[in-house]
Amino acid sequence: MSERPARPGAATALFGALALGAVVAVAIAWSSIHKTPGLEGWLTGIFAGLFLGLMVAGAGAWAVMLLAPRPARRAAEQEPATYQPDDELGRVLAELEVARLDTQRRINAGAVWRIPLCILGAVLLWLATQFGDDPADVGDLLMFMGAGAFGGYFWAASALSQAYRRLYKERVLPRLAAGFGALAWRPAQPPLEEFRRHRLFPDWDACEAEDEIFGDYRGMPLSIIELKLTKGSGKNERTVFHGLAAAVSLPRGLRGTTVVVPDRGMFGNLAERLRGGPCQPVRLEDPAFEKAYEVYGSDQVSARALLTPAFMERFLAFAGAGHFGAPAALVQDNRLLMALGNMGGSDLFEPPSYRKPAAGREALTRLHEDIASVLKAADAVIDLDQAARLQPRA
Amino acid sequence: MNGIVWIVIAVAVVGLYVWYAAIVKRKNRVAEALSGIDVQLSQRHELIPNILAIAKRYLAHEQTLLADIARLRTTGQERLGSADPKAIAEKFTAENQLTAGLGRLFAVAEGYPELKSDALMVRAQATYQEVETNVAAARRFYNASVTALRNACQIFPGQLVAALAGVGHLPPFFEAPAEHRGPVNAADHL
Repeated sequence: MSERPARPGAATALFGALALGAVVAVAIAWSSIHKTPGLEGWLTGIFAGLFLGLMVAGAGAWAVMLLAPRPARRAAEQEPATYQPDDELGRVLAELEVARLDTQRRINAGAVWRIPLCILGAVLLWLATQFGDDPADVGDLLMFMGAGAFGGYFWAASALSQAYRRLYKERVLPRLAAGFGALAWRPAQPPLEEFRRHRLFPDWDACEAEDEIFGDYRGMPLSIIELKLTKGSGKNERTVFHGLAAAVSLPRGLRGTTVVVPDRGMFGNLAERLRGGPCQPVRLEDPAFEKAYEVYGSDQVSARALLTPAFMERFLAFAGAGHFGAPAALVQDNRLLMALGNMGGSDLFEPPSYRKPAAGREALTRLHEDIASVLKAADAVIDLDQAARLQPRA
Repeated sequence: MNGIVWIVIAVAVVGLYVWYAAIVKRKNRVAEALSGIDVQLSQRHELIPNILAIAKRYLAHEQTLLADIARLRTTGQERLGSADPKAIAEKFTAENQLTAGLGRLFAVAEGYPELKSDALMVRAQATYQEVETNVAAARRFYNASVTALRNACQIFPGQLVAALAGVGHLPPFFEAPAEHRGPVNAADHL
């Protein structure tokens, strides 16, 4: 039988958990005796105190075993199968693994005192309620303590896990994107002011956009942003748009601004027209397209130079394919930006948790697939335009 | 009774005025679209001498075709800016002949691999394609504007106010060249 290596600081933390259990037992006994004087109060206090004290001590011991840093040999034994990246990415992942273990160590170190402190705070809060008109019962105490433990862990992990997440994205995603050609990753900076000015989306209040894949793709400058727009807050919050904003600079000589948005009904379209602005309605010959979309342009000829009958047909087929819902488009000179909604609620480019190995195959494969899927969307956008689709594929 | 008559007359006058204003707006829209066509045709005319200069180096046996294109370009150039419906129709006919001539030139060029692969010719052909796309877009805008004007003038009471609004003869459509209306090779669009 092999000898298990000791975990540093585990003994102290275990002692702390036992002490916390004892405090809880005494607190419950005292509270019960104070609330119900006599034998009944004494018996209830002693048994309930011992029971809950033991539960707290047991939960504390379990948390200690979970959070205490594992010795290196054990960690290596438990490591799951990892993805085999190229040398450069391998070096980055090795550095990230060091950062991850450091993050884990710092979170655990913080949790060792933050969790008990928050549990203690919760117990004190519960005790304070005992002096009020409507004292909380023993079941509430468990709830208070659970919330305290959760709060303490969140306090310890939140900032550090966010920092690790950011670091992982900054180091790994650019290298994964580079595997697809002259592409890279950067924190997203969506042109929200332009979205608002050209009313590409219905009114929104808040925007979430973290990731942008950019670079040259099929010989054209490309930028793809994962975008989520919401309206309202709390229970009234609703998603206005969740999807990709894919922008490509077409090899064309287009001028001015053209906006293509899904038809907003008679009153919606009328309101849009009454708002005025430099873009005027563009009437097109395709009745199906006219029915499904409203087009506004600052240059009638340039709008039609892009929206050829073939483009409109492909646009409708693209919308009808069911992958993205009804798309919207904003064209400024040669830059075509398509808003492709309907992501099914899933977030792209999510790095693995600090609890999992940095070089885990599953996370790397998922990130790789995410980039491949957004490039498929880019292909679909590029192929809408006849001149762009003739560009050689990478 | 008199009151009702006056109300009917007032409604009719207001209705006629609104119709008159719509016709004037649409007439101006046609003029705008026509000038848009002229801009694109002018770009096409500017490009043709370059194409001819490159082609001359390789197509010594096609001098008649090159001369025809040069002549059609001169004719088209002279007719830019015309506002009279008859002159506009002649301009469109000349431009369609020019498009057909250029189409023949590019078809002939297919038989001359050196000309086809000449870097200047490749670039000129790409620019020509872009200009042709813009000409087609301008033509669609113009035809849509003409349709709107014709509808306003030909639907009652349009006939009553069209002359007042200065619309005598209705402008002609700019039909696409015959070879552009033929069957499409699906492989080019897949």
